[in-house]
Amino acid sequence: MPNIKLQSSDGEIFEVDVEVARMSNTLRTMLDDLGIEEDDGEPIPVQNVNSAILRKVIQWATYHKNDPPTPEDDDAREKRTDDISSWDADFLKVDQGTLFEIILAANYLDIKGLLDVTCKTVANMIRGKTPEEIRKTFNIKNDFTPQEEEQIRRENEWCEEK
Amino acid sequence: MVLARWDYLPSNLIELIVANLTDLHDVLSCMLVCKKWYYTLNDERSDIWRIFCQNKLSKAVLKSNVLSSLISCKAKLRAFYYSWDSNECSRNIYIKPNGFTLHRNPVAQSTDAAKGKIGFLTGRHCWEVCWDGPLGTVAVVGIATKEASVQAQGYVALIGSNPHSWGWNLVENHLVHDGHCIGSYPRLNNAPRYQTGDRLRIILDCESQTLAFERDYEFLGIAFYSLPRKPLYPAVSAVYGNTEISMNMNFFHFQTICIVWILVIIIQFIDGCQIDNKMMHVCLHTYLERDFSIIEELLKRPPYSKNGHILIEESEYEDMCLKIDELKHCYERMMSSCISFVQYDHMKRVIKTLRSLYENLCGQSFLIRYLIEGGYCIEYIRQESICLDSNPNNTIPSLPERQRWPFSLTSMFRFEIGHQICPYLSSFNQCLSPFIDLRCPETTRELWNKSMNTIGVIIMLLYANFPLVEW
Repeated sequence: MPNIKLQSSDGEIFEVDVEVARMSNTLRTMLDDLGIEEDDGEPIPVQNVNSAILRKVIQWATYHKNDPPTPEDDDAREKRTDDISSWDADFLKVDQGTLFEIILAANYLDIKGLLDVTCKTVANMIRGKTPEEIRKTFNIKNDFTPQEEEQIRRENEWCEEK
Repeated sequence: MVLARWDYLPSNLIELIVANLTDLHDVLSCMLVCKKWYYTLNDERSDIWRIFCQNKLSKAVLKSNVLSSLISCKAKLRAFYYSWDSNECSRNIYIKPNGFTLHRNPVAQSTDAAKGKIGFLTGRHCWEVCWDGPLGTVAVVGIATKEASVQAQGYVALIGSNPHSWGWNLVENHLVHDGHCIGSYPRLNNAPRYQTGDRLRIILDCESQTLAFERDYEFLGIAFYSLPRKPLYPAVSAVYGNTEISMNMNFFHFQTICIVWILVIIIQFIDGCQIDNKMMHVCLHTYLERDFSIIEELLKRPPYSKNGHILIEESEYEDMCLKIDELKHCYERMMSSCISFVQYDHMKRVIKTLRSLYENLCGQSFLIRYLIEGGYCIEYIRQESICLDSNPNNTIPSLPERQRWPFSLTSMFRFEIGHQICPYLSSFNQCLSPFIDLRCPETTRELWNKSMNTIGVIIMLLYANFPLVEW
């Protein structure tokens, strides 16, 4: 299997299988545009992603490299969040800071499968929680005044109906 | 380690995450987390609402014309949640699978009512009710509290038959409450009766505790005052066999006549006060006759609350902005056919005005807020001031009613009257200005003076043979 080199934002170089790298639409476009087939010695810089996160991403992509391609946005498809595989669930047992970084990396590298599963994981962390509990979980500061909060609740009270 | 800033998560990722939630309650919790999340999720164009809409509403109803007046998915979804409550209607009524239409079974000697799922305690709300087919001998549209009964013997005005409901009997054109007919409505001699297919809109203002109706966009005046401060539910009662009634909660924002004023003032004076403007009319005329009916509607519709509030749906507002943009392009296209410098110069001004109008109104939302606040104040002052035509102390030249403010503007819009109206508007401005200076905030004064100045300058420059007007 041909390998290529990826360089994280903090300079660490990772050698990965081309097929694994091609899980990322961003990298795939880059490789296609540059006509890179295999290692020519020059590492491809992956800005915005540090070594710790890039290592995780590569780990995920390596495990999933033989997955069938995920269908493009299909409206009829019911969204499910209980279909996270146990491997993915274990893989994503990380602190919310790391999870956040993985989402950003998956978004930047355009890896749909990873983005889906991380977003589902976050959705599962949100489900059933009060706004205050969500803020606590993700360390978000409440920037609403009580009046604004009241106003939003009033405008959207229909969302509370069953 | 980099600090995770979930509050700065890009909008598309917030949407992706929330799209996995299946309970609207969770979406609301997310909206309340922080402003960034709120702005993302509150956006009516957000994918979230499309997904929820598809999951909750049947494909058939999304395509049917029950919801045709609602544009965004969020508005449709919201209307669904507000629609008829199958637990709060007569046993002779069932709610059709679309969720928006009720069906009354043909049961002799029974009057049957239905209520909406959610009652209102605060805010201003409006919804449309549409009768499919004949009304029968009694048909009432209105509001009810939780206590109001939903079934009665015989054929009666059930909504309005007790202290817990208020209604307009469409068959008799009567207002009914607490078992009494409390007057004719609309309050006109020989008011037209309901005709099959009329679009009825109910406007409930919990702030001023009033209820009003509109028929085919015509505001019919306040029907009930001093409503109680308890949850009030949309309600109807019917007697006709197999009658079907649809309800459609509208999504609207309160705007003000001010936006209309500014539009009208600017466009009006440019064209209406011009002596020879036939050619220039083409764009504006098409635009007005075909597209800009909303302005007229708003002008026709008197402010129904003390503050001069007027209803514009958000979709209408967006539409309005589109139309202004189109108008601008129309004029821009005509520019090449200008045959004289005066025409050319005039066109340039028109386009410039339209461009700034578009940018101001549709580009920067904070300016709209000024306009709205300003509009409230100006309209309030106008109502209170001696500048009303009905006030015997006013110094404004007397004119036939349809030429008076704000109808004068409509008439000018329609080219029924021309520049001869300018002295009238000039004295109107002179009369009103001191009151605005005295009572309105500075932003409003600026707004008013600026639009008046623009108008004055344009008139002076364009109409050399027109007596100079002191503004």
